[in-house]
Amino acid sequence: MTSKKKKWKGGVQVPWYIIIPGLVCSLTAHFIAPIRGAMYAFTDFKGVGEYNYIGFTNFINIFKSKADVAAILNTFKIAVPFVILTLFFGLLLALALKDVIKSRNILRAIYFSPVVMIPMAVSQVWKFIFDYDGPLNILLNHLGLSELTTNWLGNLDTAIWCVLVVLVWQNMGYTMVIFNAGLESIPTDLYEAAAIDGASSWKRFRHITLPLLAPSFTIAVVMMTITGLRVFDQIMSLTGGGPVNMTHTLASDFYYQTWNKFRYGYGSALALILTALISVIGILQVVVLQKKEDSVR
Amino acid sequence: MNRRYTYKSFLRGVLMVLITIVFAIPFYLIITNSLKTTSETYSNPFGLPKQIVVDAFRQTLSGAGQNANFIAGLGNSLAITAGSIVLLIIFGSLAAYCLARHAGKLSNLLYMFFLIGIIIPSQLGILPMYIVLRRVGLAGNILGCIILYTCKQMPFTIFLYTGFFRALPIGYEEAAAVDGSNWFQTFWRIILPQMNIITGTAVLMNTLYIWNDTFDQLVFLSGSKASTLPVLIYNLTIAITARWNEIFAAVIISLLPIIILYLFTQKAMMTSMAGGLKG
Repeated sequence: MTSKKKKWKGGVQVPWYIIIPGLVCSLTAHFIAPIRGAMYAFTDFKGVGEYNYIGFTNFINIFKSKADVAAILNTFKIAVPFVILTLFFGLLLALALKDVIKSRNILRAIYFSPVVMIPMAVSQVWKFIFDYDGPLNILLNHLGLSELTTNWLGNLDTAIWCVLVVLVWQNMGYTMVIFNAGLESIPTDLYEAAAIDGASSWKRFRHITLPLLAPSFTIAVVMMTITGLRVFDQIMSLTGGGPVNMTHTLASDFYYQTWNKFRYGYGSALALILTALISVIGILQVVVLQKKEDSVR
Repeated sequence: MNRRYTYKSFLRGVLMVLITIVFAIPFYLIITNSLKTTSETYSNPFGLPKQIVVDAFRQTLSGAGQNANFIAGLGNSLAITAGSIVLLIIFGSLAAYCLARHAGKLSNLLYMFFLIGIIIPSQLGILPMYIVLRRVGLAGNILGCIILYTCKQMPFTIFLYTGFFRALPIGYEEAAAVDGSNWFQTFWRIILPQMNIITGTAVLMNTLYIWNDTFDQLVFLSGSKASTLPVLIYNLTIAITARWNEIFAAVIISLLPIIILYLFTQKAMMTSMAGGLKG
């Protein structure tokens, strides 16, 4: 019996070649193409004709360019508060819905719905809301706060934060379901025991809910950081990178430089920075958060 | 814990209703303003339409005077999503089955490779893939996009399947082999049907990713006849800035398919996403 099992596991029956299509696809998109892209980052490739390897020139020029440095800074300006806010609101919603019985499913479905929608499409309504002649300014005027009105998406001080609002609105339902799943896995008798021992609701939250939600935090932080760093659709639909090219993120700047200005080499350098950033932060986060998770337990 | 109607729970109820209203305002604005005239979207952005007009929808469906054919766009989005998913499910499940039934160092190494493929972003590879597909005439073309998405989403799909194949007892294959079934018959008739739940997850997650993705579709399809919904919306908003009723009609038309899908599969979508894996 055991020898027979070993023979099966040895894979005599399942031919090895059935892995080929899947493996070739994966190798192409996630290994060969990115390496080729990384090589372009060190060239002056313009899309047609010959190109030369020019060392780190593209990277030096990126850090000399005001707009490209702004794109790097914007990437962080969006990603950091994005992670904090989506986690905060997601947890809040999940906790609020925990004890709601009647309308829980419908409310959950509403909060999650923006997650599944084409960002390019739903962002249009926010462009309308933030429009100079749009609902937000009309509302402010009605409330007698007309000194606060501004061209929200055309103003360098406000444009990035408008993008952040849209991002948080669209993604808080995502963190909500992550925390929902975490909350549901906490056994209720833990709370009952704590209540019998006279623990206040804050103490129950602090000493039962939060530690046992650690795995959910890990997932949520990683997912939101990656989403926050690669923001593209909302920039394209809301600001288009303007005014004066100062509201790009790395992803939208990569698109703009490569496909609008045909600077293939330069754009690839931006993509390489983005890739390095996400990879390093992604791997770091998984390691650090998993350690923390273990220590909390 | 479940004293239902205290004043505290009443307050919380009111608060939840308020939060939900604020959260849902964008949807209200999309729907109501799509049924107004352009000038009314400015004079009366908040209110219900004074008179319901469907001109915006008629405009959008007839091409909005901008050569943006949303019916064709719907078809293109559908073809690209469906085509990619069929290939992803077939090749992905086969590769995962192979990984799961061949234990060993190489198998583990490949498994790690697929995992890394999910973590590391794919932007860097888009340009080289674009250059190659353009050279063979597949840029601006549905087939090119299907190839792109099949390649990009493959590690995710393989990864999703592998764990479940590994957990499946070998006994099924043994019994089938005794009955004289070859590996393919066993896989197709016995193994894959037991994976219906994970196949469903793979279909849903890949659908959401491909249908909603804008970056690759802008790169590959901009200005082509194969333009998909996100590309059309993007072009439309540049062409007719500020005609909000028409823009919102286009938004509704492009969101409708995914909303219908969401109505039927919302539970499955939420549980798939809650796992923290995304293509």
